[in-house]
Amino acid sequence: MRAVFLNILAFVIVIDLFYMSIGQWWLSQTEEHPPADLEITVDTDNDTLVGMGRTLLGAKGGCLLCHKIAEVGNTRGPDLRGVGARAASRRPGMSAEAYLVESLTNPGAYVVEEFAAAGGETIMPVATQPPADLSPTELKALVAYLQSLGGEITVEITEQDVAAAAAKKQQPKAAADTRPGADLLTKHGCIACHDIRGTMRLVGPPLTNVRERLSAAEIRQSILDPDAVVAEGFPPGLMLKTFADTVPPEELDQLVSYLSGEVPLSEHLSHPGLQLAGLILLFNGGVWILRRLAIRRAVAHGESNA
Amino acid sequence: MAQGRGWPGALTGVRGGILKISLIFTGIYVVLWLLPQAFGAADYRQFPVIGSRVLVWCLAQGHLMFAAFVLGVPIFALIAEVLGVVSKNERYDGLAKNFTRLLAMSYTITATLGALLLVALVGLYPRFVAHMEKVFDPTWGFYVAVIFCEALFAYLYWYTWDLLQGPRKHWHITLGIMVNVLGIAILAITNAWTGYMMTPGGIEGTELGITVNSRYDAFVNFAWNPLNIHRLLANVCFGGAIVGAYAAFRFLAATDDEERAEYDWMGYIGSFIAVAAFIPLPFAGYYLGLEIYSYSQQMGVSMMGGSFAQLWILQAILIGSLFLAINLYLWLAMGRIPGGERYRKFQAPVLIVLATGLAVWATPHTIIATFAEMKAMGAAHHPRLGVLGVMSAKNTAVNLMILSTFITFMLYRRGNKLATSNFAAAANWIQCLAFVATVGGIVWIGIYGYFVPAAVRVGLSGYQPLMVGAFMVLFLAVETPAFRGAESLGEIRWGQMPRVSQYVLFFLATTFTWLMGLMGYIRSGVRQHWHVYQVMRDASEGAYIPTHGFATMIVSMIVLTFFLFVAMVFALAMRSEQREQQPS
Repeated sequence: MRAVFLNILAFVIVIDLFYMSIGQWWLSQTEEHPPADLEITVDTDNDTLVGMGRTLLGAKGGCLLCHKIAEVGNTRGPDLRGVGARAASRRPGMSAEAYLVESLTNPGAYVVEEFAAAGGETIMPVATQPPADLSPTELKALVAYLQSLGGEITVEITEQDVAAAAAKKQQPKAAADTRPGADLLTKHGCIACHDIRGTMRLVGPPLTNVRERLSAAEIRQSILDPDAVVAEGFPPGLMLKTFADTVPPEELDQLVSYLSGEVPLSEHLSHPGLQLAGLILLFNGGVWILRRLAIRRAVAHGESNA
Repeated sequence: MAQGRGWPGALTGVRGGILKISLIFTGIYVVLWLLPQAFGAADYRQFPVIGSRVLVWCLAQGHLMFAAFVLGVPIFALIAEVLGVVSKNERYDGLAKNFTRLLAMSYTITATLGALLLVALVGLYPRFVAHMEKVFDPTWGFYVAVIFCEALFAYLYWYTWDLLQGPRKHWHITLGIMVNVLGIAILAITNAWTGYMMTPGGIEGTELGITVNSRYDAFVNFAWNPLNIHRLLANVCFGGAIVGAYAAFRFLAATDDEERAEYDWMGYIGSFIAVAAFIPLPFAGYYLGLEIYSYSQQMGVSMMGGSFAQLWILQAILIGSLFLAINLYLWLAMGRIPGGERYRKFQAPVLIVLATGLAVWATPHTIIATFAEMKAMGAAHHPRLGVLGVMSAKNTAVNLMILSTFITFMLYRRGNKLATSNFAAAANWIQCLAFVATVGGIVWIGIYGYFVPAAVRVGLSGYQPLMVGAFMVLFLAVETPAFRGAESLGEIRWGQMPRVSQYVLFFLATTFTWLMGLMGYIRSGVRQHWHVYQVMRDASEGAYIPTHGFATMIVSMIVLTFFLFVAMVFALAMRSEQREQQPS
């Protein structure tokens, strides 16, 4: 038995290593990292911008999955060689820059005939939305590169572009508070006026220690009728009085529970721990009862047979 | 595993099973409750040495493999049991019981791996779990309840096998149906989660700032149904292959001819199930790919022609090897059939088709090649061999491989039969003409595909499997009357198989497992640096596509570890059988 087991084990290992070796030695070995953010400012010169555009074309933009810029490359989309010159005459009355921006942000507006999918639609995704998700400055860098392919570079990075790109990059960097209700502070705009990290003074009182100052009922009242009781040191009339209309009751309960730390009875009952305990009791108890009944019946049956 | 002590004994076994599941869930709950107390808030935490990504990868894939096994085996165990009742052949009932014997321990391993996976996800990826909770919160409790029900019915199914025989057999079959219904429900729920990560729907916003507009749309997302179909077939296929491996192990370890005959038959049935479910799998995979392309062209292109393109070469080698092994097993099995030698002349042509098909399937077309490679080839693909890399050639190859395997199986079935009906000669002609017409049609569509636009070509690719399917139906429709009342050239000599044939069964099981591991990686990897594609970015250290060498090394380790666990399951199944055979 042991010899059979060892033979089979050795056989499985050999097959396993054979398949692994194909991946190790026959296939190419490159890592593909998420695209890095590019620092583009109003001072970025055209040559640098074109270089950045080229990087975006191959990496974050993912353009070369379908287009080519040399003799060899993919042909799912139009050949980009000479696109800078062609762009000026694609659509009458539209400049090369405007055409390229439109092609990237609204690719279905004009589809080059031989590349139209069924129904005249395009397979090209919008470059400013995920997965490419280019920022306004990145979009312009890419347009600058495309213009450099046979055309004249006309794009200019403006302060608005830089500001819009910075706004787009703003993702929550801090560790996420995943408790129910935490995200509602952002959703309903509370964090615009109230500090939730204890690091600064804003228009309204901080929420970091609100549970020490107010009960659950008082927090609920402060949301629905902000001027009923005003925190010391803060003027009345500043907080919006529209939350009673805009925050759904279910979310209001979650917000109050999150801020006060008090969990209502209904939430206790729907607590996952209680639900799990209920299931465990139900199934174990049910089987235990069935078994007792079966034993009793078997004993009775044995006695009657005896 | 105790059996034969009446209802109290059976319910003692069920109680033990339910208690195990309860302890696992309690353990998960306690650990998840302790985690936030032990660690501060974080978006990601890093697991030491191997890293969070590799840990979750191994646990998820290991859990999925055992889950596939415990969901796949009851399907064909039930079919075998029903066959036993319909044909009044108790041998099928014994076979179904032997299949089910492997399940009890596998449930515990599946649940334990699932528990570890959940703890790892919550502990290492809390931000991502918070997102998923927001979308799928109501399904969690339901999922746990379904698992309890599944465990209850599965343990009842096993422990009441001897109790519910004879006039009470229909109750046992009802239990089997419940096990399968609940198993498919578990599959559908988990597919909604994984499908959502690839093709999210029903929400607005990104990251944690999302609003769930329609939980139904989030659940029934683009990839959900293709995943259901693909995984259901794959589970049956995988279950059949592992059962075949168990039978092979028992055959090789058998000490007498009777035992060898029993496990030879079991191995044949296991491999037959695996092959029957394997044949439609490429088309289910095609449907999944189609839905991925429909959802996001870019994701589809990345999968087939971008970062993962080269892994399809390995996939082709794996599937080609499976076809070769299946045919080899059938040809070896024909050696124990009196009269089987008549069909030996077909071995060479079948081998040529399979080898050529494998070569075509493994030929890459558009891949990310280095500049030096492109320069050497003179283009993004090889000037001559490149034409074999496109879907027209690959679809033609795979359909011809399926057709050849079907013919081998039909010849195996004919092995010891000599048709004596008047219709036999005409039937043979009809089958030959249908074969020539089908091959001609498949090849013609393949060639025609080179001269039409892509959209037409994609539409044409559906006709090739239709032709294969129609041929199979026609062949069987003609075969049945032609061989009615056929003369037997002798009984199949079960057990008289060369030992190498049993290693072929292990080869099938290992290759199926490898295929699952590889495809699982590709399916998950196409999200690239997104937890939820285009909705929630993966900002962790592991948010990159590793080298193919690294990925295949991880798959290889997962496969080896899986087989070590499988060896444990086999050992426990044998021990349970020995205990059962001991006089009480």
